[in-house]
Amino acid sequence: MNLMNVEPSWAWAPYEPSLESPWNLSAAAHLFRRAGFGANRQELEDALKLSPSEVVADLVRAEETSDFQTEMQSLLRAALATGNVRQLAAQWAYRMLHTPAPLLEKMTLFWHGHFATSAVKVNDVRLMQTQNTLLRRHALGNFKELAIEISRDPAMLLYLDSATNRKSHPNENYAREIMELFCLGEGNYTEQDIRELARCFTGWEIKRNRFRFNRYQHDSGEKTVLGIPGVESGEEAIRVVTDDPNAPRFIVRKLVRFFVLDEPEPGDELLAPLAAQLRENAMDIGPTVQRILASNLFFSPLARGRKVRSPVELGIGFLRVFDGSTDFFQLADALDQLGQGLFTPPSVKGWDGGRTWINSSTLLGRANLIHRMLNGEKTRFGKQSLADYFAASGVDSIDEVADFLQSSLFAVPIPRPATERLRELARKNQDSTWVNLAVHAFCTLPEFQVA
Amino acid sequence: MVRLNVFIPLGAMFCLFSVIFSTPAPAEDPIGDGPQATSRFAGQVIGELSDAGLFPQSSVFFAEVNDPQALISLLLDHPLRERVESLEAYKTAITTPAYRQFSLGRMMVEGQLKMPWREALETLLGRGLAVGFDTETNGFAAILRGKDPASMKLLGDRLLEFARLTGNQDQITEGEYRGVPAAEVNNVRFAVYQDRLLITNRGDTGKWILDRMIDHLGAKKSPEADQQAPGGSSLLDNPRFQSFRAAVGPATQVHAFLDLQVLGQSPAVSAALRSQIGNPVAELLVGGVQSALAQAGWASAQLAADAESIKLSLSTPFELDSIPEQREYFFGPEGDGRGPILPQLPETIFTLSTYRNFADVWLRAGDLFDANVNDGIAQADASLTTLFAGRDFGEDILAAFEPEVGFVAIRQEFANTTPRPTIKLPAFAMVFELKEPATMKRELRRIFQSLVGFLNVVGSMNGQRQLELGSEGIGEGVEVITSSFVPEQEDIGSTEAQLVFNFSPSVAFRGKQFVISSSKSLARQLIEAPRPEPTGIQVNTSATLHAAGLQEILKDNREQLIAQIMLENGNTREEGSALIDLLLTAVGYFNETSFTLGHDDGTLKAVWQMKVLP
Repeated sequence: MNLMNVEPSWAWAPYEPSLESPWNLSAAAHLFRRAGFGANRQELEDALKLSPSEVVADLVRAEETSDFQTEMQSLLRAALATGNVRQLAAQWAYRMLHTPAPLLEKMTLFWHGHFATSAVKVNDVRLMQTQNTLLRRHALGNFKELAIEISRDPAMLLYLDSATNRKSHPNENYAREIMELFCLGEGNYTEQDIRELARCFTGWEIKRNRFRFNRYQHDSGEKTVLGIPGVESGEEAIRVVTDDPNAPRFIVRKLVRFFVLDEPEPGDELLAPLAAQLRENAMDIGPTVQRILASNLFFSPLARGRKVRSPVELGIGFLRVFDGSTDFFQLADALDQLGQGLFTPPSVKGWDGGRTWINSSTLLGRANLIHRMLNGEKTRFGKQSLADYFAASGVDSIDEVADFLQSSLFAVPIPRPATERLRELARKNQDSTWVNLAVHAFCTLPEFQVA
Repeated sequence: MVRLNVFIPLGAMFCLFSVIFSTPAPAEDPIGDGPQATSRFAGQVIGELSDAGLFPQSSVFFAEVNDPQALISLLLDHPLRERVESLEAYKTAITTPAYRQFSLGRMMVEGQLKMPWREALETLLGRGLAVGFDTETNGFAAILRGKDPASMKLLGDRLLEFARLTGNQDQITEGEYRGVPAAEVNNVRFAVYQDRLLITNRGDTGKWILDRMIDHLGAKKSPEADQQAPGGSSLLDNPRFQSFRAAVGPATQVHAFLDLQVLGQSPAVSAALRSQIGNPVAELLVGGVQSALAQAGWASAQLAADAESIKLSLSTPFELDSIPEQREYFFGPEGDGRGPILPQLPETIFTLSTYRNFADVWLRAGDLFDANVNDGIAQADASLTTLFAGRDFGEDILAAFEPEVGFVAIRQEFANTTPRPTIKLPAFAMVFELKEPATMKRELRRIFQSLVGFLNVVGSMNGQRQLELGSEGIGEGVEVITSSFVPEQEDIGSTEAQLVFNFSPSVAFRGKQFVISSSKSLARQLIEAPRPEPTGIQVNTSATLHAAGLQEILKDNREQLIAQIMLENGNTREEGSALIDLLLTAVGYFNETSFTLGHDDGTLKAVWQMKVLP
């Protein structure tokens, strides 16, 4: 099967389990890995009692419970009170691990990479958290509304040096980024469009960390954006940009790369049905994401094991599969070292993802992260040691561990020689330490790096 | 002879050990508590159970527990134990696999010893414990004085049996020395003689002590014969040990002796006692103590505990001449520097009262610190001189204050005020006396106003809240200059306000007294509080941490602490809450902990004390 030969109508049609492509633990684990951060054995088994499309619908519908929100509010208050971005990042890692709405959180992470803003430059945790809350509120909502609100977000405008925009000297920074990186992509606009769009944003300012519209600095002259004349305000301009036919295609391309496969780049023809749906839905993201996650292509071999685990997927996913918990400060630090610092993306382009997650340094760092989590004194799995967790799950031998990992954690088959080597390792370590050694050894295999 | 031959090889590989079976008739005990002891060591023995005479004179370290049974009883029968055992956290802890494993191990040991562990402990340590390190033989030794010879023999047998059961047989060697059975298990040597169990890591050390035991405890030699005892004189003949005992006084529960003269011959120790400390904070904390120790022959520690407190005292001989001129800032030129007596305020968390002449430290920095520190001080001096309008920071500013300095931290009450910060910090203040209040008061008021202005300029550049100056005239000669952060619209009525709303920097004047405080309320309380009368027990430095105040500030920040625990330990909120509640309960068991440093009658003494609530 080759992506170039895939029929778009088949690709985005609902996945129907078959003998060749059964709805089993591996398939469910694939869905939860991509649509969230993995799932424990019970969640996977519960999912198998429903059809794939029902599970996807549940994931899209899932909301944070009020208890969970109250708990997160207390963590947020603490992080904001300290003013420490490290604590804010640890709080988000905690939220990702424990959220009852994993797709919502995964989409929040997606938008954080899309509308990338770094606390290193913004230097204000309250502004960073305000933006994060905004991203979560619109994560599966309407893209137009998200684009308008993010354009007035103080953290975003400070990050893009767009805190002032006067009619005498329109600031083109934000106008360029919204066209190139946020909505349309390169080649789908002209320099004149940028200049006109920048004029629409004149008078948009950040004063004392708040957005305000300074009508005296707004250019109220005639403006034409993307061929549409008579555009007056910044809000109108954003609607014009998000109404452009290139916008849905640009967004679905990113969504498909995020959820389905890193490479090859999907062609316009393949994306056309999704782009059309997004446009028909007035840029409501949820239905399109639901269609992607419930599609034939998503469950096909073209998607399974075709993404490199991001550091967040690696760290949070590892814990989530085993009902784990750990020192979230250390975890957030490790994610940063592996190139995916929460609240500190590397540039306005966000994370490149895919193969760029892996190099000789990060590969070692990934192995060390798993080792630290496995052996950290604060790490627990279901509030116990990993050996006890496995014992309570009826997983007693190296083969059973391999089976457990294969179905829950691995997207591609674990090589038989690796299992043989680990069988020997388990034989030499008769005490319970073999469990940690074995899991660490499995999780440093190249096969573990893909999801 | 056979026995000796067995022992010599063991001695060569540092042997000695076992559980001895002989039970000589208990008689007068020349080193212990018999009548001969009082004649030989009259006026010298710390308590009547000292085993110091069983250790060589070259022992550099010696510690003794006089009545371990009382300590065991204090610990295990303390009312706190019942309260701890009633805690849910304790009940949960004893159901954990780790505790069950520990219990199983304990039961195994009890089964092997055929007695409960407490009884075993009391049998082994019932009448004393002495440990020491001898530099001559380079050996560590411990002497456990049990309930009686028969019990010690029995227990020794069982310990050896236990070692045989649990250890590698090849690692256990048995033999005799002068008729005393001994054993070696994993390079640790044991021997039981009468009611004493000797444990050592060196055969030579063991032989010396065992000789001493046999010759003095067994043969009942006359005191004079001690001088010609095999192996030479004992620790009791060490003049520094004698001085230590004279200074320490009568019976203490636990005491320890360190021979600094011998220890000081080590280049590393000598360097540690004589070189510059290098860190200004450490210099201020222990600079004078370092000088005193460098000239002292010994140092000691004493521990005393009862149902309501535990007290650790560290002492060393003190002569004012031992303090070099550059460290006169520590004890004062006449050695009589004392910290001020601070008023007791409600909800106090911490107080520190000390004598330190900061101006002297600043001006003598060249003698006290290395080049790096002095570079830093020179830079700071330049900046501070600018900040203080050209007045020399050392000569004009620091020298304007008396060396008696106080520090106070109290809980802040936010109950009815907004903006209320999310994290509630204690208010803290420093209390000084001005040498020339008439001129300095005006100067300090102006400097404070400049500082507030400076903070506002810097704060406005970073979008921070602004300070507003104010003043409060409380009474004649009393003045409080205040500043407080001006709330913005979003702060008004907020109970989750920024950290800055913990602060309202203020200064206060009354006569010679000067207070600089993080909050205007504390400044006012300190300046208004009546000046306590000197009690005659002032010391160079004293610090007290009050558990009640600490508990209140922890309660104020309970939610923050829970969040911190959840993120740091990966706990759930319920687990985090339980941990914080446990911490609050534990703090509630205590009254206060204090530290004092002072000298009296030629002895420098540091005392740490912790008081629990009855």
